[in-house]
Amino acid sequence: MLPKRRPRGWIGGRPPRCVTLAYMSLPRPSVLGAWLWIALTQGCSSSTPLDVASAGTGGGSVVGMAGADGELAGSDGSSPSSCKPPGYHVDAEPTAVGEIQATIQDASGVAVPMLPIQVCGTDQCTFGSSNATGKVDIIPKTKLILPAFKYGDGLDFAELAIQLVKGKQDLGTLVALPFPAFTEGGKFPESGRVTNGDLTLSIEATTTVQFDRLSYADSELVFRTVSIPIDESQKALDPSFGFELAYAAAPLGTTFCPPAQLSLKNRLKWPAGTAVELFVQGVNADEAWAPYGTWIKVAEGSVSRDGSVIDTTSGGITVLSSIAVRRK
Amino acid sequence: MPSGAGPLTRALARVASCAVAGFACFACGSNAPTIPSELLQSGGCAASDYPAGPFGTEESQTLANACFQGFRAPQMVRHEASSLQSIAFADYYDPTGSKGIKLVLIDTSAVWCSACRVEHEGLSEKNDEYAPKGLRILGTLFQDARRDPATVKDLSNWVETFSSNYAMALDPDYQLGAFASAETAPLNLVVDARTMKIEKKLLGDQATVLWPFIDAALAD
Repeated sequence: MLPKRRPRGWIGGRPPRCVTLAYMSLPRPSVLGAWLWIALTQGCSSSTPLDVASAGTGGGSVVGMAGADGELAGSDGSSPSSCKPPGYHVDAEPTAVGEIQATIQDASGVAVPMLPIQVCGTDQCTFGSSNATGKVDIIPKTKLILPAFKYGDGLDFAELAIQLVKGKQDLGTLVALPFPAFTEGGKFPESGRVTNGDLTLSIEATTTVQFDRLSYADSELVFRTVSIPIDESQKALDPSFGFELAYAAAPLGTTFCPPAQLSLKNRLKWPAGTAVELFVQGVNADEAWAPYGTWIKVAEGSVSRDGSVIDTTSGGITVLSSIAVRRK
Repeated sequence: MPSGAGPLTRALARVASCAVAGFACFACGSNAPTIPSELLQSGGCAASDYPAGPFGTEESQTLANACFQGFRAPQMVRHEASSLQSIAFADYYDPTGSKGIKLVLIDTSAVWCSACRVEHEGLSEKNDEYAPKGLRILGTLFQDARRDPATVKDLSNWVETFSSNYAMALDPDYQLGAFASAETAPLNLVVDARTMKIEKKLLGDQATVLWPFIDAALAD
């Protein structure tokens, strides 16, 4: 019989959930260029739905998926009953990633212990967590294809990804972003709007919504968002994109076909009519809806006439992940 | 906390929340959720017809027998606890070829591991192609998204998500941790069913290495 080996316990491993909850209850504060050539293959098209949260008949707009260079594919005006992900996988040679170091803090500069982190390629994942002082020190055991450092888990904390390069690297200070409690999340309607924080998703009756039921229990399938501080999250947001607003959303990996429309509060008080571009980050190694570890444009939008919100005007949210915005 | 709550009320609420949080921490005890006893092989895993040791965990060494609870044929049963069956490595031991098994691919997965999900997305198709050639696939699931031991619900969700048509078993106490740490996944073992020797041990989803190896081994 194989010797029994239990997963690592509290010390050096995952903390008791009470610690995470306790922490959260306390009062509280060019690498991407290679991806830009990836072109869309198609928009939503018919295939077998995997998990239909809502279904309906009748018309609905279909919008295409954005290409990596920012161009939107055209829409055909049809209403598919299910969707096939476009897929963004590209073959790549494995990268020899060395020691990865980082320091995890919250928005007020306090160390965040035991934040789940992963160093994942599309071929292998290594799980770890920040130590009692928020430090991360992890060395992947093998070369990885398209390696990325992911911090947070999409459950208690937003999950963000940082593409990794060859060799040893210090990612510096990273800000962990706790999501609101599940009880504060917005319930997804069969059709209509759901709001949390600054973001409102609009889902049509013909939209196929597919949840990641591997990761989330039924009670956790609620819409939650958290603002991502731009200046403190440059590693994940990649300064070459010039993002000016960013949010993390959950349930991570939820897909919408046709894409869901998004409205977000115009926190930066951009003038009415200001044109913007919206991107999502791929944190899933399957690269079905977004390339892994980087950002892809999924929509265009503009500031409303009264200046209060930014609405998507073409494209939309295909997959819930982190959403970043820049003026066009 | 109502937005109109005064500072004293808010301060008292903060003290109370800290007190509750502290008590919760104190009362928590072990971080590991209790694994149902029926999912553990505490009674041992004897197999009268299995190669003798010594056993090991590296290539060219003999795989020790181990038992799990899982779905032998997920596509044919309801995905619930009552459908769980005992699955042992010994079930795949086929020294004479009478079972038609030449190789066994043993895979470890965890819900938190996106690379594991990528691997399983194509595994049913591989099973369709390779089962007639003598390959059997046994997937194991050891942890959920929060790194807690995998449960029957996790296993059910997994086989439904990937439409698994190969055996999938729970490994909540990570018996296969002898081969790789729980921090890294997936792990793939290719085992010669005639001898139960480990022919190939791969960390990660190395499809470009794994499947040519299996092709060559089946052709041998």
